[in-house]
This record gives sequence, structure tokens and C-alpha cells, in this order.
Amino acid sequence: MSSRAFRKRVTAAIADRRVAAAVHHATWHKVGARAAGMRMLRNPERLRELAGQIKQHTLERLPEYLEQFTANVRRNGGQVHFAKDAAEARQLICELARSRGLKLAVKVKSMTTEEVGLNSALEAAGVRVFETDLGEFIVQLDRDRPSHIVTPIIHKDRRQIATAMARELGCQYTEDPAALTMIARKYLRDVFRRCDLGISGVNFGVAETGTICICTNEGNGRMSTTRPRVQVALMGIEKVIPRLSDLAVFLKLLARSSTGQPMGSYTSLISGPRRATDADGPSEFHLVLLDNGRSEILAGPFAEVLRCLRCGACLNACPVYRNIGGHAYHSVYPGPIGSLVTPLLDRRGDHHDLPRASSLCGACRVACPVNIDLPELLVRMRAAGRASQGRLKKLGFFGWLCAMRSERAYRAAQRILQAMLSDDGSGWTTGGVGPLASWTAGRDLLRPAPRSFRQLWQEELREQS
Amino acid sequence: MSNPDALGPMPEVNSEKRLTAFFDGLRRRSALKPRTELPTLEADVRQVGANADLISRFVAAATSAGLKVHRVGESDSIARVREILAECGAKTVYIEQNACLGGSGAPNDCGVAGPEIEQLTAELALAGITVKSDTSDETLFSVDAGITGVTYAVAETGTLVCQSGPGLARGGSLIPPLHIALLSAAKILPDLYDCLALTSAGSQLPANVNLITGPSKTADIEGILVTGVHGPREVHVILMQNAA
Ligand code: SF4
Repeated sequence: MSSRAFRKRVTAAIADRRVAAAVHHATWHKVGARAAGMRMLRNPERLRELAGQIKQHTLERLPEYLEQFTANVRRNGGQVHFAKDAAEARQLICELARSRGLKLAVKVKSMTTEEVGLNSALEAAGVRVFETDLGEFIVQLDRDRPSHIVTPIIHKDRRQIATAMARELGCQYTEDPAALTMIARKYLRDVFRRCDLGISGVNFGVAETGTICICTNEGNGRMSTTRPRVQVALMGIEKVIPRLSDLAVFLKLLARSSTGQPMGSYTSLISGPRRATDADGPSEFHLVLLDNGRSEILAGPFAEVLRCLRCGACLNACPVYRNIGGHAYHSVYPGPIGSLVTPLLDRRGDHHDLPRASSLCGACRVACPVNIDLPELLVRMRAAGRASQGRLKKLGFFGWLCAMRSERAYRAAQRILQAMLSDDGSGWTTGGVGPLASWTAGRDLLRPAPRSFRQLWQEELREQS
Repeated sequence: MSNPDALGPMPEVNSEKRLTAFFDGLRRRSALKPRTELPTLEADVRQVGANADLISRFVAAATSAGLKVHRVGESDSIARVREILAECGAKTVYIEQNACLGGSGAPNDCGVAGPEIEQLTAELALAGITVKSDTSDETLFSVDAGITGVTYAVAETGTLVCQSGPGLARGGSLIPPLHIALLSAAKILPDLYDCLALTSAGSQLPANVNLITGPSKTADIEGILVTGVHGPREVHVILMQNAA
């Protein structure tokens, strides 16, 4: 996405008061809920440290743990596949559906399947796909895109939802959230009865037991891994953790960071297909391990981003996200973590503006349950993308460097700035002239004082002598 | 593992070779040096110790998660189940065919006897309720309530742990709109850590272990809480204690 396109999206997002208000309201609520949830813990900071440490440890020994994990998934009766990129992941899962004659898929909300664009590929292969998370279901009905990694319809209000549901499902128009939810329940119940393929992501993959962990509140995760004959889980290679007891650390932090709850309603630990004597459950279990650029991230200076749990806390904490919402980022992963992951996963795209969409205030770092130093990484990412900076900006920074190096140039620059920056009486300026105009359009710059300290000091000296 | 209706592995895609090649490549390329230790957890992770009043911690946490907890003496459990069914207007129920329904049995013998399945079934039938024990779709999608046992519970979070196994349908605690769980007080573990440590102690996990902490819920529409999205709208816990 070019700079201009990004700027246009941001401007449009800020201008849309309805979306802005919805996002603002929801994110502030979550920030408060998260803080309250964390306060219930005896030692929240220690837990964040531990979580970061476990993830870092695992990343440093990723091949070992992945090997152990896949061996144990197989021991549990599951089949393990490997997809090196998005296209392979789509092919694999479509082929799976084709060879088994599967026609109706239910999906648990999953960022990884969004990342590889699975739904449209399956539809093209003749498989009907239903998103079953309420938010994702509405996104799908309305042919919209999710704008938050945990709360996909954070940008929609109830009128928009009611309109979409009445239009697409032919149901009675109602704005009551409970009634809308019941309409979706009824509709999807029928789908759950008939579905033959269940697709999910993975929150954690436990190496020592070959178990995948899926966390949901609605129960769609359980439905989608109980009802269909075949279950497929698409898992980024970074999701593995060593021990089942490590989950204690992550589960104590994950729901709190996402929604403020001490624990989500359903945490499912799934170890392979149903056993011969089990009463129900899928008879086939497939795990697809997805690389799609992750191994390259692991080999580079941004490996720390692979600790991410996709909890969404950094989005809620970010003043930029709170004001522009998720769509402006034009990426599956918005917010601070998205501004890192997007350029890393899509190396050919032009994303150099994303890491600049941050005030570097550090709120994301404080919120992150796995202690990722997001602001530091954002600064590094800015530097990495510097090559694509505009000429004029480069010239500007060169000028700044010269001015800072020589006293004469510094004084001259000061006088030029004093003359250039208009004063509206507030002491701040928002309307620079010339090349500064575009800089100050989005930033309030402190206006230089009419007389600098240096001038005042010299006058003082002169008076005394 | 014999799954009668499973096809064999897909010929090309389920390739051990491709995975091994990938792991080898990863090993060669990773820039990270193994220097971070895997921490020992127990002391730091634990929020609730074994000496805490587990019952009241559980009741408080479960209640704030939206579970409805009923504390009863061991002989009163059936009467309470009947009351709840009557209040909710439930006419048909599914009862899990589980040897340790509520009471003693694997994995931790708790000394509080839950109701016998036969007795529960008989008394509910007497009250005019249709009792089903098969796990067919017809049953699970049509009954008004599912009655199940619980493997353990967690005081810290108010969590119920339900496992899959012979006679233990995953759908029993999930598909009917009302879930009634029978729990002996002695099955309450202090911390999530204890629960996971215990679960991983065996040689192989059951295919499905569910940690249930509340009814099915969503706040996707304007942040307003609605229960009963895909799972039960209400979860009642019959918490049975020894009279002593
Ligand atoms: S970077 Fe941290 S805060 Fe942001 S989504 Fe990932 S885990 Fe959550």
C-alpha cells in the first residue's frame, strides 16, 4: 500500500464518526477490563515475564519442539501436513475436502486461515464455508472484513448488523443484540447438524502431549471440533509450547489481555481424533503446520514478534488504532503487532508507512502478555524501511543533521523556523508553510518562542556589562 | 487407533520427508541461540494454594464467571436437579452414562457419593421427565437439558473440567440449552496449574478435555453480553458436600 493510499484510508477512517465512536468505545472498555483482570493476579508482571520467557525459549529451539509436537500428534492418531506458504495451505485443505468428499465446512475464528485466504479457495473448490463466531458470521454475511483480531465487528453498530442479518437471512428486523444472537444460533445450529468439515486455528500446540488448545467464549470452537467427521487445524509454526503446565501461565494471561475475563468460557484441549470407544467427535484429525514467512522472521532481527498470542491487547492500548480502527491498516493484522507482522510476512509489498503509524508511547509494550518490546521493534522496522523514504524528507533530515552539527547553521535555522511557523495564539502551530505544511498537517508543533533563550541570555549579559 | 470411517493418510501431502526437510532447514537458518531457560513454574504461577478455602473460592469464581452454583448435601442432589429442571420448564433430559457421575471414581476418589444413575433416572421419570441416555444427534439436539459429571474443578477460576471417553459425549455439556453438572466438593483443585499438571500426568490425554468456565457467551454486538450463542445458555453446578 502506498503512502498516499494509507493516508487516504486514515483520513477517511477519522472522518467516519460512527465507526470512530464504536471503536473508541469498545477499545476503552477493553483497556479498563484488562487492567481490572490483571489486578486480580497476585503477580501479573512476573507472569508476563514467564510467558515471554517460555515463548522465547521455545523459539530458540523451535525445530526440536516442532519435531516432538508432530511426533505426539501422530501418536495420538492425527495426521500432520506441512504448508510452506499460503497457496500450499489452501491447496492442502482443498485437496483434503475433495478426497474425502466434504461439502459443508464450519470454521472457528482464526487469524491464520484469514492470513492464507482459505474461505474463498474452499468456496471455489465447491465447499460451502460458514464462519461460526458470531462476529465473523456477520462479517461474512455482510461481505465485510474483520477490523480487530479478537472482536471482528468492533467497527459495526447494531443497526448495521440488524440490516445485514435481515437482508441476508430474510429474518425479522430487530436491533436487540440477544434476539440477533438467537437468530444466528438457530441458523448455525442447522449448519452444525449437517457439517462434515471443521476448520480451526490453534491457540497453543503442546509439544509434550501433541495437544492443540483452542479458546472460545461462544462454544463454536467446541461445536466445530465435535460435530464434523473431519477436523483440520491450521497452525503457525510459532504456536508450539513445551509443556501442558505452561498453559497455566498463558491461560491466566490470554483472556485477561483479550477481554479482561480471568478465563474464557471454553478452553478445549484436543489430542487427536476420537478414540475407538469415544461417544462422539471427529474420526479424522489433520494438523497443517504453516510457515508462510515465519521461518524467515525467525532467522532475522524481528524474531521476537513470533511470541505473539494474537490477544489484541496492543490494539486496544494503541491510541492510533483507537482513532483509525482496523481497516485503515489494510492488513489481516492491524495495530502495533500488525505494523510489524505485515511487512515481515509480505516482504514484497510496500508497507513502510505502517510502523510509522505509532506514537511510540509504549502502551502496547505494557499491555503485551508475552513482553514483546513493540515500540523498540517499531523503531527498528522504521529504520529497515528507510530506503523507501521520499527525497524531500531525506533532504529535510540531512538539513536537520547539518543544523545540529554547526552553531552557525543552528542559529540560522532557528530564525528561519521562527519566521515560517505561524502563531494562532495557542503556542502551537498546525499550519506550516512550504514543505513543512504536509508535516504539520498531522502533527502539532510547538511554536518557537519569539526570542530564543540564547537571545535573551545575550541581552541579559549586555545589560549587565 | 482404529477409526472405522477414516481414510488412510493422503499420499503426497502427509509427507514425513517434507516436514523433516523443513525442520532441518529451520535448524540451519535460525539466528537464535538457545540461551533462554525454560522456567520452573509452580511457585510463581500458583494463585491459590492448597490451604485456601477451596469451596468458597470455587463458588465465588464460578459465580462471577456466570455459572450457577447450588451447594447441597450429598443426599439432596437429585431433589435439586428436579427443581432446576422444573424452574426451566425442561421436559426431556440427556443423562451422561458415566460411572463417576458426581461422586467417587477415577481419577481422584473423593469420598462423596454422587447419585446413582439408575436412581436419578428413576426419580426424574417419576417427575414426568423423559430421560435419554443415547448420544445420537436426535437426542442431543432435541433435549432441553444435559446432565453430566465433572472430572475436576478449579477453585481459582471456577472452571469445570469435562473429558471425553467411553460414555462421555462431548456434546452432552454443549448442545442442549441447559447444562447441569454434578460435582463433588472433593474434586476441586486449587489452581489451574494443578489441573494441567494432573491432566498431563497420564501416558496419553483423552482425545478431548474441556475447561468450562461459564455459559456460552458473546459480546460481539456493541460489547453487550449475551449468553447461549452456540452452547448452553445456563450452566448449573450441583456442588455436593459431605454432611459432616
Ligand atoms: S503483540 Fe502482544 S499484545 Fe499484541 S496481540 Fe500479540 S500478544 Fe497480544
